[in-house]
Amino acid sequence: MIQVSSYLFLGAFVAYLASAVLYVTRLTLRRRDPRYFDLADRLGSHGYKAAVAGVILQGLAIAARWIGSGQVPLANMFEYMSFMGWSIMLFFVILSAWYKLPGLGAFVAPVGVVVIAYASVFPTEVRPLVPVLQSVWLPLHVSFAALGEGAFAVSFGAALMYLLRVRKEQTNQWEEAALEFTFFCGAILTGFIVLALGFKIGGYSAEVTNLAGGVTVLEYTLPPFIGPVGSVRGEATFLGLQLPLVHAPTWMRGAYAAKNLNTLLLSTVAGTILYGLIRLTARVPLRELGTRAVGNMNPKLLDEVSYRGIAVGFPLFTLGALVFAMIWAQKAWGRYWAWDPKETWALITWLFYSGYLHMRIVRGWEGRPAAWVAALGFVIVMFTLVGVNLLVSGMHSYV
Amino acid sequence: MDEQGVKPQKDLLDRTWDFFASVRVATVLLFLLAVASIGGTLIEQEGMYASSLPPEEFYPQRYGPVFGMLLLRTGMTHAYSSWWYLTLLFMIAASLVICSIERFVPLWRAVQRPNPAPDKEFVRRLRHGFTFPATGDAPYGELAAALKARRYLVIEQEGRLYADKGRLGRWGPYITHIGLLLVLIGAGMRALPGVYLEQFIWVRDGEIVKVPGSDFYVESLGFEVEYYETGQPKSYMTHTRVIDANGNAVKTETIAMNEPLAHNRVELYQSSYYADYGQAEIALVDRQSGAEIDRFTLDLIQPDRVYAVGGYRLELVSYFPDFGIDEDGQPATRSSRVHNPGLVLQVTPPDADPFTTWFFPLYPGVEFDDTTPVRFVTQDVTTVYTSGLQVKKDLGLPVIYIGLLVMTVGVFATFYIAHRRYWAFTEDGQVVVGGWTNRNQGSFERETLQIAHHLDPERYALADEMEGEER
Repeated sequence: MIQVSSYLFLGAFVAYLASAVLYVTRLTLRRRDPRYFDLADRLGSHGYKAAVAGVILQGLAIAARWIGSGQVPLANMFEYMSFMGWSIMLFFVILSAWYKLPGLGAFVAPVGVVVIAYASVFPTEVRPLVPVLQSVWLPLHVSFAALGEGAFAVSFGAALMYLLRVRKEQTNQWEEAALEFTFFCGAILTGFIVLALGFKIGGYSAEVTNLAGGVTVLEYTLPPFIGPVGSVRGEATFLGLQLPLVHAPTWMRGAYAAKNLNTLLLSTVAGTILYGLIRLTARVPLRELGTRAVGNMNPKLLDEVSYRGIAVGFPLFTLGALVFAMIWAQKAWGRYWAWDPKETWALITWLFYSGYLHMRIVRGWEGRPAAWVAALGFVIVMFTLVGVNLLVSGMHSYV
Repeated sequence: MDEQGVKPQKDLLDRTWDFFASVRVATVLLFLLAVASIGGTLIEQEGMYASSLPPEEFYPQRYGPVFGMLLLRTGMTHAYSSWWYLTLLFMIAASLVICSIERFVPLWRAVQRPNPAPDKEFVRRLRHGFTFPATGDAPYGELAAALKARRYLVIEQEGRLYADKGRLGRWGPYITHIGLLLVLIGAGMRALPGVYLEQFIWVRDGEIVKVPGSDFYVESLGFEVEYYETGQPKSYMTHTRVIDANGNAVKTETIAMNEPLAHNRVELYQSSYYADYGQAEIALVDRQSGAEIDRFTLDLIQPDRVYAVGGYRLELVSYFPDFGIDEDGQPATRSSRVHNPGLVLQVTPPDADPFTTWFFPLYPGVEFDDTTPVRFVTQDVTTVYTSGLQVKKDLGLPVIYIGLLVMTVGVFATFYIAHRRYWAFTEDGQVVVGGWTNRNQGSFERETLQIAHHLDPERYALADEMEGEER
């Protein structure tokens, strides 16, 4: 059953990828020549079908994994991230049906693909649940939070499109820089996924001595250019290079700090190369490419889609990430709130989106400022999911 | 002459009220609270850091003398109970209350006491609308039926028609805010005496312990760990019996992870455990022949002073539950836990002089003196668990739960229920209908079109849905 699930998962990934490619091709064609409109629209409708097929396949994959393992498949980073990717695509499918806005696909489907690919970086094997996770609140807390975050992701895509659309009329240098930086970060994330998946498939692994944080041997899945404190040059090799070249600064005390720093460095290098290649090929800044892709879509509608994403996601997120989380924490540890970093970041996310929702009813704050907040909101979501685990430790150590 | 100049002077209370009644201020407060929450997740908080140093020493050492002192001075080391965090929370609470009071009456009038006969121009100018021919005595008959079929509440008055549904959606934000206030009140109740209790107890297998802050006792009938085949722990549980103040057993229940025991508003949570060596089954063996003389049971947690074994008398001279050698090279115990028990016994054989010997029940082969006529062989050692139970009482909890429920209902009502309303009047043989909704315009537009199509199919064809991109 687990094997079946992984085939279905692969099928879903291929479908999402096809959907993203079809949507992007559609936009490119539409821009080229009005004669291609009909062909482009056919591609767009195939893109939608591919997205629907992907959502169904992944739904089956989740069900198969659930049946095969006998436990809710929402207990580790792979399972969580892929579920979130699923909910992004699910909300995209729903919102697309509501709004008939195929252009959205070229921005949201790639986000879904990236999240699913990111999920595949983590170990995929089924692990038995530790005692604290054996609760009915696990599926409730995790699925609702992930559904909310999926809707926020769609909102992020639409807000980005809105900002790219309206910069033709009004902009300033800060917003221009921020937009370009958003694309650069996207390139780094893509760089990370390409590296991580490449080395995972290639089966690369290196073990290096570590003197920080109580873990004596640190296992790297990427070549250790930066080793931990205590590592010696030559402990690992990559393409004949004696690694690590340097070790992490001593003030970084976390057990995995050096590994994370190394990953960040390599991803930034890969991302910069990727960004540079696109920049050189296109001969314009990436934000300009984005603006061309968005074309003359109705900005009001984009703004509305971005708002709807948050309006749909906010109650789900409130229920999953705060209400169910608090009830579960009370049941498991006897305290509904402990200011654990993950918990606090969920609150920060919630406060931030609450701020957004109030902004929408304040005159003068509803347009571009709100769109920036909607875009930044999803960055906070991702930091809560990924960054908190890398930076700080807490009770929420499983995912 | 200059009437605009004679603005009524607002006093401080009015201005404070206006300040908190502003959505702009509420928005800023929300973002401020979000930003203020970040610091505490990056700086290790008091009581959470892994060090025995007091805060005044820990922070300068961990973050450097200047920054460390700054953290201490600003309260960043206990960010979520610092004056600035609590001030922000109070301001948000004030904003919640005042915004709600400010807007309650106008909203009540608009939603619950709607005006069915507003200015005709207002109806005509509404974003969603249609007209259809008025026929017969009851021009609204078919429209009212269509609206009722769609679960609208229809009012016909003064020759006008008013219909609406989804009023709860308009109240959603209020419900959410009330829920949030309840959560804040429930959390704030901790400050009252007798509301909140947090304790920790250790209960060894078979032991009876008074539960602090309550009038009952808890007896451990045994702690248990289950493992998966992989060796990973599957569950921790303590089988317990609750005993009341008079010594009567009230109930028998198992406390496990996610399954606390609740009695008289006090809850016990499985939270920790440790294992000790309990009882050792020891054989007394004749060194020369290797024949077993007799056996006895040694309680490693509380050994007896004297044992009589097969005519031999064993007297406990010293007991080291956690044997080690101290700085002076003398035998000592490193802790009171039974980790590595060591005994000094004076053995009196039935027909010889007494002698003194060491015995390590976990390592019977380790002997300081192998010339004694008898030796000890450990046959079996049992494990005794001590379960760590968290004791909690929080009378604010029901308030929190109700608050969370109310808040959930509120957010779902706000975003999943749209308030939709129609006004209609007749003019020149036509019924003019205008519609308004507070959210989800697209879906409302479709509904309006469907109703229009139903009433006048020729004029209102069901067209394609709205298209986002121009060709």
